[in-house]
Amino acid sequence: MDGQTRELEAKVAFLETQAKHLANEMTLVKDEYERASRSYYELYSEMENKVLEKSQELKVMYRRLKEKNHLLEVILNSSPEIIYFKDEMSRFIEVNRMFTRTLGLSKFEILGKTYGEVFPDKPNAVLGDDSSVIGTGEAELHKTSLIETTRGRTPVLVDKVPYKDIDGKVVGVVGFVQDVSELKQAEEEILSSLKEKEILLKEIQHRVKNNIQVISSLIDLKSRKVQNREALDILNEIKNKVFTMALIHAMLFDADRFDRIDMKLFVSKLVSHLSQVYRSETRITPVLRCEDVFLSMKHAMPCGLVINELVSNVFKHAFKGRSEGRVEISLAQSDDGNVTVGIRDDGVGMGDRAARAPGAETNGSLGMKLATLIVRDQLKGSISVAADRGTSVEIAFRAVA
Amino acid sequence: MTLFEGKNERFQGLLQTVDNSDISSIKTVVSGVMRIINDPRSTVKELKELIETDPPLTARLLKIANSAFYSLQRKVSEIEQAIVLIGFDELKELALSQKVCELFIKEERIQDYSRPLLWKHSIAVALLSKMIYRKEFGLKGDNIYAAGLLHELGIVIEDQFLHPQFIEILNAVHEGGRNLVDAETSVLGFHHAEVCGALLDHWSFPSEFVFSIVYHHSGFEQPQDFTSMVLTLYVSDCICHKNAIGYSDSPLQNDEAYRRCLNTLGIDETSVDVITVDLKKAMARVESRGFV
Repeated sequence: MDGQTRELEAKVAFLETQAKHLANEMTLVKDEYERASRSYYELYSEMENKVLEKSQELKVMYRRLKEKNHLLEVILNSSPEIIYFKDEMSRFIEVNRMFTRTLGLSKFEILGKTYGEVFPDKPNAVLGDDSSVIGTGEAELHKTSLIETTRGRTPVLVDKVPYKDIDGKVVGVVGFVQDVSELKQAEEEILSSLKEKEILLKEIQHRVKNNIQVISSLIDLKSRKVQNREALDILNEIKNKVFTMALIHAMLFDADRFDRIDMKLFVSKLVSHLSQVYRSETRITPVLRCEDVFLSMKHAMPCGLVINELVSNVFKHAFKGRSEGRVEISLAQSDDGNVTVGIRDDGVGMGDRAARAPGAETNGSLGMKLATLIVRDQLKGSISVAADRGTSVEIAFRAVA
Repeated sequence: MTLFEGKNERFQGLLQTVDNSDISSIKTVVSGVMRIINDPRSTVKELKELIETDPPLTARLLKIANSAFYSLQRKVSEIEQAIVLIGFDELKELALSQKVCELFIKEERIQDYSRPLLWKHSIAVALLSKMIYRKEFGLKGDNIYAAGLLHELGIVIEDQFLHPQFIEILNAVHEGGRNLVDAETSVLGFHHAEVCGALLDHWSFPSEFVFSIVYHHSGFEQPQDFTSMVLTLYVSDCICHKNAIGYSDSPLQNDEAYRRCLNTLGIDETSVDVITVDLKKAMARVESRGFV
């Protein structure tokens, strides 16, 4: 066999071996392919199931999201107020139905634009400028403004709060605009009605004051004809009481507010009047230590009557047989509404007048009895009497509006 | 197994040390892949789950899947996709080789030896053994591929845990012209194939696998049951040595034993030539992918 034949034979053997190897590989590859196909099918099925599962989850999430959106839309569109959302460039990103209805525009004409772009010829500082809310991140509440609506110029109350994203960064503004035209009208009606009632009340006060003055004049007229000293004293006492009531009504009439009668001024006027009424040879010096105390009619009238009774008592009885004397009237009110009234004299003391002290009602004077009854029944307070180098009466009651 | 009975204390101590060392980090993945290879009912899902237990390996495999070599149309971000696009069998081998490769990284060179060269030898033996199985026997050759990758692990263990003795052994091989197994036996009282076999036996690898590694230098001494696997590993070792692929632990070739093995396996010279050509192509491919 020559070399060429051997070489050829070797090539044939090489090719035969390659063919054998290829055949073996093909058989294996076929088996592997079949097995792989099965495995891939399983893998695909598993992946398909996963995709299906995820799709279901996404569907549920989408449904929830849709429901939330729907809820938000329902809330927004059910609101009687105008509600809008703006981005940090003050462009409207959402507005509710009340907004479009009130301003007579469609969403298409509003969204993506600033207030100035929507209403170029109707600038509005409150609705157009959000720089303060965006800059500070603080709400701007109860701003009043006038806006042009389909019903004409309308007064509104605007609340603007920062619109923050889930990280707390300010990304815009949420605005609530309330049409207050009806409220304004109601307010005007109330004010008008109040004014009317105020006038009416003043008229009543005026008439009461006049009537009391008529009563006072009548008593004065009659007392001139009375000769009996005792009867004259009684008439004078009654006159003083009527005067006190008239004084309170006069002050009420002059006061700016019916629930605030200036008791300091009242005491000053009352003491001045009583000094005149009980003028005698004894020089009595009244000393007033009154703070600013303001009482309502409910407390002012009984308090005034009590002060009248007690101060009258002092003028009449405290300085008998003396050439001079001193009476100190104090008035104070604590922050929590407790009022204290003090009437102290350096006179002869209770002595035989001890029986006139509160509690000794059977033997006490008419004035003291009256004072005690008024304090207890009308002022729901307390009264105490001390007789040491003169007489000291303390009254305390609570006067809360 | 009585295979490792009577071994000296150093041998037992060495196994204990290795079992507690970083070398055992390959155990989970390697034995898991072996289980998948040997269970015909195993699924791609099991391979995916096994790979995902090792995040660095997962990342490495995904990087390979996304490399220019595979030229995939879309980016692969999950092992599931890698299995579908690269293939179940290829990914199985890739996972195995990438995991075992971790132990062969150290660069130090002693005489002709270095771990990267030993790795090149291991991967060549693995590929060649598998080719013989597939082309000559018409068998899949997954186990022989794994055995090829691991058959020299005993050398790495000696290098790492008995380093002074290992240098002594390499010097004896290089300067004294001795066979590696003989030099190891004379210095240590055992050789690398026994160390690797005992470790894999301890890790509960299949008996066929353990036997083929233990006897890959002396195929005819082993029980007859696993002849083709042991002899294939031996023949592959010899062919790699003849073609100077990577480091070889058998410098003294026994040509007669080699030919006897080829005869026993029924492989003729032409087949060896054809397979060697294919091996060189396969190695060039592996090198181009940066695996050796």
